[in-house]
Amino acid sequence: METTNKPISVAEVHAYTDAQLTESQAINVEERFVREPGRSEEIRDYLLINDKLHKRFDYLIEEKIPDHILDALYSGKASGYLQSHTGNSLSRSRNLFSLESTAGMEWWYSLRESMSYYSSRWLPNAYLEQLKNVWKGKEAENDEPAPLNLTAPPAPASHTGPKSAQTDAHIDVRKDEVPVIKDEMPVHKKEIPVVVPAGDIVGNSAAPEPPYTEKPEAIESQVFPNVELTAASEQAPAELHVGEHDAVSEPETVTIIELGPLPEAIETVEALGQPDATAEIQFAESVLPADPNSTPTDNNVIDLDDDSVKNEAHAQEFEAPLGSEITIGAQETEVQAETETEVQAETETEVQAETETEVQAETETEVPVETVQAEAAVQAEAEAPPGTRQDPLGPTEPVEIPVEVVREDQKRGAKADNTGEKSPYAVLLEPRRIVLPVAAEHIRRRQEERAYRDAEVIDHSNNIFDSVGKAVMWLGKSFSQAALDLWQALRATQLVPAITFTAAGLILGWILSGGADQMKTGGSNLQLERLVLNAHQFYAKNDRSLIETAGQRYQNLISWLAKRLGKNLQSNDLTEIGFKRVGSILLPTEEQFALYSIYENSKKQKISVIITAATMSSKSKQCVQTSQAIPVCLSVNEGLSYAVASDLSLKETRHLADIIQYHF
Amino acid sequence: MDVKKSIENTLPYLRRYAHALVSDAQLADDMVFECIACLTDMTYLWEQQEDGAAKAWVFGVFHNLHNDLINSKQQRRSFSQHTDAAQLNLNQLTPLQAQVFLLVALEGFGYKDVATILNISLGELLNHIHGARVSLRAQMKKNQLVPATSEAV
Repeated sequence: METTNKPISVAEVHAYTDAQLTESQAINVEERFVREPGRSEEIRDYLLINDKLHKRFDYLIEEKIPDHILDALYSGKASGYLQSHTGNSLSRSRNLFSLESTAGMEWWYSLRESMSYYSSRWLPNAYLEQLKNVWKGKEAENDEPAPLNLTAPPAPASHTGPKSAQTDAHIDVRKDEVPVIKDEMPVHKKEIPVVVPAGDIVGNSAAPEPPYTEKPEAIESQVFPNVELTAASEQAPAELHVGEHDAVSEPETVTIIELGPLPEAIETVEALGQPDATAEIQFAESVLPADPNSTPTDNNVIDLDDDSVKNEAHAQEFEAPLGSEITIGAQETEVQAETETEVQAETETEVQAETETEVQAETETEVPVETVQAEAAVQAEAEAPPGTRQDPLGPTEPVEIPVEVVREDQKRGAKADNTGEKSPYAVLLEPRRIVLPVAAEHIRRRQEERAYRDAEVIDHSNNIFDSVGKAVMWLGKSFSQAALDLWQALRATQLVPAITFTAAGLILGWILSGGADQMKTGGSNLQLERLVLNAHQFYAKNDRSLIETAGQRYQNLISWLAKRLGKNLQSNDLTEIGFKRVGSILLPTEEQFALYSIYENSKKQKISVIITAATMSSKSKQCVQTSQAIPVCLSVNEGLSYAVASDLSLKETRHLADIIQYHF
Repeated sequence: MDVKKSIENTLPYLRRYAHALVSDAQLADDMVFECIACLTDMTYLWEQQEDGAAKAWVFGVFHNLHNDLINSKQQRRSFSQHTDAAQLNLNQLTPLQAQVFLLVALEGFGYKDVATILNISLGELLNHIHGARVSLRAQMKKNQLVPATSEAV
């Protein structure tokens, strides 16, 4: 067989030792052992080593496993052991939970397990599925600590049977994919806290029972909610308006909460806004003339376009019954159209008036003409009895604003203007309003901001940049004047041509002398100086790294570099001046290569010479005594740069550099 | 198969390997402990393993921990303080040589399993195991623990 004639390979030796061969392969190897006794000895030794190894360490198989390892396996309380018990820092990330090593932290373990469930939401889906399976398995085992329970340990029956309705705020960790907070409290309670800003305590229990509109998100997002309680009359159902009020524009995202009759609603809202909910209660009803003959229209709908209704309402007290609806005709002014939509949308005769703003403004011009509701409200306020009205913005006197574009006045013609009486239609449009301090504070802040903004626009005199700009302009003027004066003086002394020619000559001379070249090649000069200095310190000063190059090798280096640089280089011999070449090496520079050579004299003083192509054409030479007490001379001649560093003095080095640059 | 039970069955062998690899008994137990701590965090991955590959998987986790250990300079000193009563100085071997040799010779893993655990190729594995055995054999002969070749023949 061919295989039996082959020598036993190393792989076969180890595979046979470790019983990794099949039976036929093993027999095949054993047959060849006869011809290769060395291999069989090798295998015997290897097996002996294995035996020794087993004798040494097999006792650990029988040994009892330390308890803390088993604890780590079964209870998962692995973290923190290493730091607390051994002081070892093996556990790197897990030491974050080193607090666990203290006793009595069972709650922490359960909490962490629950947290690990939540953190799984950030894992990829595959891992999430695996985690779910594991959790289901754990639930089946039922030997794990209880999940997070905010109230009390869950009853054992709760896992099997249906959840009882009395368990409140229990986060079910295991059953559902997404933990659900089961809150048994009524839903409408969530809407209430928006009424009062942060800092005030909201009494949820004071809120009446539903019906409530469900707009929890819109309400909870309000930072400065404006709260307004409106009602058409004493008996009409009041409405609680919660929303962001802008003093100028239309109210946005107003949530209407219907309350009971007005007195109860007032009590409710007062209870909500404790302790200062005694707020502003503005009644416009007292303005009205009392007339017992007033009758509501049929179908509980009051049409303002109907002249008979107007006339009746002018002379009679009109009181809208519960659920009455008011429609305003389309042939009214634009402002009336707005009012109509608003009124119809809210299905109540309430007015969203920013009366406070208008009163605070105290100017006739700032009253927007289109805010009919606001003016009506102002008019109503002005005529309201002083006892029932409180200005939320402070003790400001009510301002009587001449009503120009008011719907009721237009309808009644000059009659209302002459008499100055309150229009009976204002009754319908005038709300009974409760303005909580929240709204008052909000509006006041808006007004302050606007006043500040207006003042800012007008007042530019206090701008700090004005003074700086003035100073800069003054300085500029002064300098320009001084320059003009100097120029005048120079012209007077007839020295201008002389100064100009002198300066031009200096610049020209500097350029001709190579100053510009030196500036241009300053970087490479500095680099060459550093290179020769380092090379001298490393190769020449250090005997261990001293380089020695034979003659043929040196010739090769010279020819190689000459070819690369495109220059005609010759082998240099300094034996005439008593220096013998020790070794040469090529060093890389920024752009190309340099030939570095070490020479030595009879006194074992060494000099280092670097030759490379020059970056400048003109001749130059400079010698410096470096800080390492090694003089360095840099010179340029015929397109080649020479750098010499030596153990000699600066004067001798300069002399050497002169010799060297003519020897190559 | 019960996950934790199978880990527990592997524990004695893991301890033996750790004690052989790291001469410091306390450090070896600490490494086993840390390995178990890692495994308990990854039980869901354990379920995906086949029964036969379970032991190799545990050793693979241990191998990664051990690599972290010997890569940190702080632990290298303690790692090198190896005094062996069996007069087999495993400390002369490189870490990888020691790992390959112990997994094959002491724990009886197959070559493919070892290559998987250590994440090396089979050729590399043979290189390391050959180097380890040659070194240990020379050490034995130097200590005259085995008779000379001529006498054996």
